[in-house]
Amino acid sequence: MADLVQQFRQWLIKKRFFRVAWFAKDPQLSPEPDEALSQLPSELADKLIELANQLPVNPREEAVVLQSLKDAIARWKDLPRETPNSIVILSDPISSAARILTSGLYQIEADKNQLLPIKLLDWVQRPADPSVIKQQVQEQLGIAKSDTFEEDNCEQTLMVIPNLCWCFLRSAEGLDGLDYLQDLLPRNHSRFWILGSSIVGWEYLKCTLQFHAYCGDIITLPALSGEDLQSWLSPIVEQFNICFSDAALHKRLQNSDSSANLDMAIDRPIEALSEMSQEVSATVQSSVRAVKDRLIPEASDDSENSSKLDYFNRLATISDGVSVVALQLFVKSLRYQEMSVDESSGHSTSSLADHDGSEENCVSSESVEKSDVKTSSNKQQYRLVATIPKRPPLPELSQSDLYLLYSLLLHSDLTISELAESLGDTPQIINHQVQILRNVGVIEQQGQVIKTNPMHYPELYRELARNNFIIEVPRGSSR
Amino acid sequence: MEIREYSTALPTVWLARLAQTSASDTTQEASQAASDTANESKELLSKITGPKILQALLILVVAYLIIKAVDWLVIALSERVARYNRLRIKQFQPFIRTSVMTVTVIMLMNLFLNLSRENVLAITGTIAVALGFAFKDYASSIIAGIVGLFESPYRVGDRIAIADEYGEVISYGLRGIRLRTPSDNVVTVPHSHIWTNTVSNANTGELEAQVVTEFYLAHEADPEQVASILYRVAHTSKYTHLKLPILVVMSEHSWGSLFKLRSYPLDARDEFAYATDLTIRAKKEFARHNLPYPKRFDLEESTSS
Repeated sequence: MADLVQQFRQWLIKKRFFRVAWFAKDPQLSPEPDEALSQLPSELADKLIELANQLPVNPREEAVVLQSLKDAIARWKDLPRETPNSIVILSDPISSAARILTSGLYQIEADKNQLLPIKLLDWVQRPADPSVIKQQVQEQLGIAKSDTFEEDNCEQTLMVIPNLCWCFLRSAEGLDGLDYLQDLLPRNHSRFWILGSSIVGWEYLKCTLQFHAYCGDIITLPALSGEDLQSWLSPIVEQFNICFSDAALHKRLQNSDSSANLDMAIDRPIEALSEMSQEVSATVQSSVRAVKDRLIPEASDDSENSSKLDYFNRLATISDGVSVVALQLFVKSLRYQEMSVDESSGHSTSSLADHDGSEENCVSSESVEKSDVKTSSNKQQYRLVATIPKRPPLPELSQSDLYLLYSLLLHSDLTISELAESLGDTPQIINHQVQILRNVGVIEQQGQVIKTNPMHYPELYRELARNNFIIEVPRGSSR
Repeated sequence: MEIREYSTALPTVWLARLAQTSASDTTQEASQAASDTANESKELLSKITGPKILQALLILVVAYLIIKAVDWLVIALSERVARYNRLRIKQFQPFIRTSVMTVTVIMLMNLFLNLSRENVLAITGTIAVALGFAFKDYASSIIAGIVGLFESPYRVGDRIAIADEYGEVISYGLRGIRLRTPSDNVVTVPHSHIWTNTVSNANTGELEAQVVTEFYLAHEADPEQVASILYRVAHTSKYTHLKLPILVVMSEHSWGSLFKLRSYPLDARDEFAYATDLTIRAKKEFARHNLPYPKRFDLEESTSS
């Protein structure tokens, strides 16, 4: 059984979970010209992407899932009839609930004391025909059609549905599978159900089917703090020796191209305003810290470390503590900086920005050294610097766009035909709308699968909540 | 009469003098009265000069521009913010419009009239009489509009049925409101309608308004199955506000069964699209389950019911 979970986990990583979306996922979404990914030599860019994709599930999220599963299973094993025989793990629609859940399961399986047979619904997408969901659930989970109530002599089994959102489609027939599951859950207490779901899908199921009434514990993944993100992303930071000095953080502010900024302000005032406010807030934050460091020198850490913590705290704030969003914003904030090193003196000078004393501490990375470009006395070196992480502003969305985007968040991901079915429109109309939203970067498409762009997720979530869609509370305030 | 009695007792010369004196007094009084009125009018109307006319024109233009700017700003802002705040922001429009118009009228009166205490009383009386005869309906509408600002039988953004028209209130003017009907016509209805007629308001300042969608089926159709389909159809429509109640009600008729699905869209503006979506989805499901439609449709009964 361990093999099954492991195989499913590997498959998910390979097929469905792609983190660095801007070119791994949707070919239409290319990085901005000044971002590191567009300027790095291809082998280094590949390495950066590979490292990002290889990052494990965030340890804090995994720990929460693992602990919750262990506690709930232990309680159920002791008193199967008196305790709820299910647990629901809720994650963000853009996070892979299935991957986090299977990662937790893999840990449980490794613990030989917890060993129980597992029946896994190893889907990686919803069936093309929603009317067959019930039948497929029966077949995959090995449930007989004549399954009766309470079979006392049954062997205790863990039933795992990694993503409940793949078991329904918002259409007249699409909820039949969940009707069936709803009946099945309380039927037999020798089965313990582990259900993964997105928070948006779960709210919908609560309102329409009162699904929560049939379930036990409901665990929501925690919002990650700056420190959580710092330790999670440390393999990338260390590998590329990424620089986090104040001067580097504010490089764009110092070197801003006034004419380009003016053009942007005229063409896209909302975006320009958002950029400016984010720059100003980050500058104020670092200035406050600088003043504090001067006034209380003993309390201050070294400049590089406090800049780094500032950076990750800000990253946690703007990503609402969602790991996938944070990872994408992190890579987006990296800049590729060229340096010339005088071989005789070993002194390096940057060609891009003014530097203060603290930035001199950022040693250019040998790993990003481009050895084939040399001058007679100088050697060209490169380094990655982290600029202020910024969330791209959400483009102006019509009412119709909001309906479409809510549908995507509700189901986690959809194909065009599923999206059309869910919205009650024709696939042609939906396809036009999808292409327009792809062009503005709000959604991504790979193959047939459409998802919302994680970088827009925090703002989109709030926008939908403000516009009467059933999303419980704007993110960031509840967790 | 008294003069005639005296005339028998007094000499003729004296009588003639008396009559002369009396006529001259009457003429003087009349001329005095005319002179007084002329003076009062002079006092009331200040001197109309070219600069004053220019100033008045400027005031009118500025007031017009302010009203247009406020209209534009309120509409633009309310359509951009979150839907929850849309109707709240729109409520500013009638208040600001009324305030700007009131200030403009006061400024113009101040420019052309000497507004002493007596003059104000005189003007008020004159205007009251003029309005009573010439602008009765107009005055009634204006007063109803002011009363309506506080009683709120309708507000900007509400969906109302008034004077045989149904639509969204898109503007609240001094004399009346403008409704946008489902066929995208703009209908102007004077405020005075609220004195004597009913106003049916679907959302009264809220974003949601109940939509009732009717379905006609034959007696043979299983009511439980129909109700179940209708609930499912409402739960799966993209427009449905799922946190507000959804209800299916049924009534029996000679021609068959009438089912009404009562539910709320996320935005009252989508009511017709919503009803259409529900109908299309429900009809698909009825067809899938072979639910029969009524064969004979008694129009008289259906309208009376």
